[in-house]
Amino acid sequence: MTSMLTPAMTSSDSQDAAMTLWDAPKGTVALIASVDTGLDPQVQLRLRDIGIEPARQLICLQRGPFGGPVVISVADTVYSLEQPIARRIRISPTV
Amino acid sequence: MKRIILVGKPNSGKSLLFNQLTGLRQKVANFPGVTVELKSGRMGQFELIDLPGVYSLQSLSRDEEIALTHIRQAMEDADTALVICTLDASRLQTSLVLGLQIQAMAKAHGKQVVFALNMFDEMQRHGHVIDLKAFEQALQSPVYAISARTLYGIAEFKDAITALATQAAPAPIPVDQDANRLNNQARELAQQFGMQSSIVLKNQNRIDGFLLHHLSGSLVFLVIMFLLFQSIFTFAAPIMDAVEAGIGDLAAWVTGLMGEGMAADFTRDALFGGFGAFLVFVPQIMVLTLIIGLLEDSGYLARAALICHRPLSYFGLSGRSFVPFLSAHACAIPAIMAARTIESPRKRLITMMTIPLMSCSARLPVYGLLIAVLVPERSYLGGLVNLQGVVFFGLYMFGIVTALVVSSMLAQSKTIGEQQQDMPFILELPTYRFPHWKPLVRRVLQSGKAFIYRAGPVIFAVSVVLWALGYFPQGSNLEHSYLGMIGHWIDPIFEPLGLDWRYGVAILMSFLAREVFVGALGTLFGIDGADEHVGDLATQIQQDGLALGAGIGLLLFYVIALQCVATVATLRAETGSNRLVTLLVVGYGLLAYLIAMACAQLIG
Repeated sequence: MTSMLTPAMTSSDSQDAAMTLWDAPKGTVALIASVDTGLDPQVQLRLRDIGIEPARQLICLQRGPFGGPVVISVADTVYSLEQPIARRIRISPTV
Repeated sequence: MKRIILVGKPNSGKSLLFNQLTGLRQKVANFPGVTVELKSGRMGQFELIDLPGVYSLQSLSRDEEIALTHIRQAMEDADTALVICTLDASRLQTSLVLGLQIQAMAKAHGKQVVFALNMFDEMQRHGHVIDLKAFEQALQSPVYAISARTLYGIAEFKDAITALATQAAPAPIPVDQDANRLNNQARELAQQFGMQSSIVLKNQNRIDGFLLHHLSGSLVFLVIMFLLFQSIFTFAAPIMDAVEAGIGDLAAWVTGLMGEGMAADFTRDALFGGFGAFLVFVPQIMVLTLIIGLLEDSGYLARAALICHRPLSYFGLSGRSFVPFLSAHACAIPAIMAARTIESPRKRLITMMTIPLMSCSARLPVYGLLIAVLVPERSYLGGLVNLQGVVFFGLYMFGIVTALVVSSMLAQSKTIGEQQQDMPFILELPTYRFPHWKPLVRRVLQSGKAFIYRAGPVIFAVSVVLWALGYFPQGSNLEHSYLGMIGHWIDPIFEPLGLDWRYGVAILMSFLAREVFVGALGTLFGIDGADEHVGDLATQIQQDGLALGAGIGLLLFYVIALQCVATVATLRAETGSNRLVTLLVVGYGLLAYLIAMACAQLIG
């Protein structure tokens, strides 16, 4: 993925580094910047095991209907995450 | 007996593989439904155990915790001869994360591991090729390419695992079980051998774009729910009629052979009248189980939970509360078990506490009888809307709305599950698949069987006791029987509800199981076999006179009151709190009583 980044994209990358997964519009392809370390350790470990950890890629597929959970794909699987957790995952969009 | 255990991620085709390996020789060690169940079956000289699916060795919910406890126990158990770990060939990365963790654990415990590379047909359909020899080499455990659906490679797999399980166990070896290292290895292996995720997810994402869309998604959801409730009545009705007629014929034949006497009275009124009446509801439970099973196996249920998450959050519930609530319309017991999948302990507790308010199928005969008594058979809009049907729907809705109101009240309360950490809602959306008939049929049959085994003994005992109390002292009429004496004694309790002692006895009896109400009332109204001809009993009650207010009150009483010994026992087991269950029985009982009294007094 990194090899495909153009300089322009890299700069927008750092600009949007403050974005949380909850704020990502549909279709966003992003690298995970950080996962809140204040989260319950068990939750953090689970997130790590499903591939939600820094430097991994995710795609925002769908905003949940009526403010419901956001739908993302990580590696080969699709997950939905509710707002309180999606807010604590920071991402840097690459597209 | 030596054991082989089956471990894997949810949606990796594990249950189907289990079915194919064990055939008919299996049993469920738990209540059926969409729930955590431990299935065990025979495969040759081995016992095969299907452990509930998990994502990793980190648990987030009660069901995962239970599954992991079982996995750990099985690893330490000397009788465990082999660990089978299923992998989804089309999604190697996610299944390898668990696979490698399980493999490391097994090696550390001196257990052999074999990987079942399932859904191989699906992978091939996408045109993907995998170098099995190299993959096996990299994994350092045997790998078998199979498809539990098409039976591809199953025969060879069966031979191979039998041979492996007969071998002597390897010595435990110290293994680095660091999950970070294993996860990285899973990622590398998936990159080397797996499919590209964009190809795997293409179809699924297209369908989700429609089914999870604000507008089309909500519409489809409502249509599916409507069809579901419709079909419980339309599909099940003919089967229920057939069962009813069958029991009626059997009763007539048997009692005809017996002639007159106490034995014949007992057989007709207690055995067929009381016990037989409840068998009529078995088809309905099976139909509901079938539909829920179809929705689950196709992958839609996860979407429904997602769509419901936000609306249910307003009432202090989770999207995962949706499935238990749905199956509670068949029976509260599997529903309470299914609540184990709810991630947040607090929401799980609130869900379990409100499940009894959903109108389970045991209430149907009560609703059916009272609606026939109170509501005229009228149709509107050219037969499209049936008045009795509308009242039926209204009662279901009354239960659901009450459950939501109670949920939000419980959510306000600080004492409910406050000591436990709240877990977030993280839900996998599995691939859409055509459900396979084998596990479905098994699940449907199991649901009927479990219902009979669970409620049967209670209802049988009630029928016998009620019959005996109403029959003796011999020669007296019902008024002067033992039952009549008890009835007159409790009369003052039911008087404010506008109901006489016969209803009082039937209500008290139905605290064991609601189905008892119709049979008990039938016996008490003195018509033999009234419970097999609900229409007849309804006419009898109409002639006897039941005030509209009292009748509506009685209906609402049955929506609210927690009258089921089996549900109470399950709630106590799952919540581990006697106080809480007592509170629920008394609370719902009191609420039901007050509503019924208000109806009787206000409507008259």
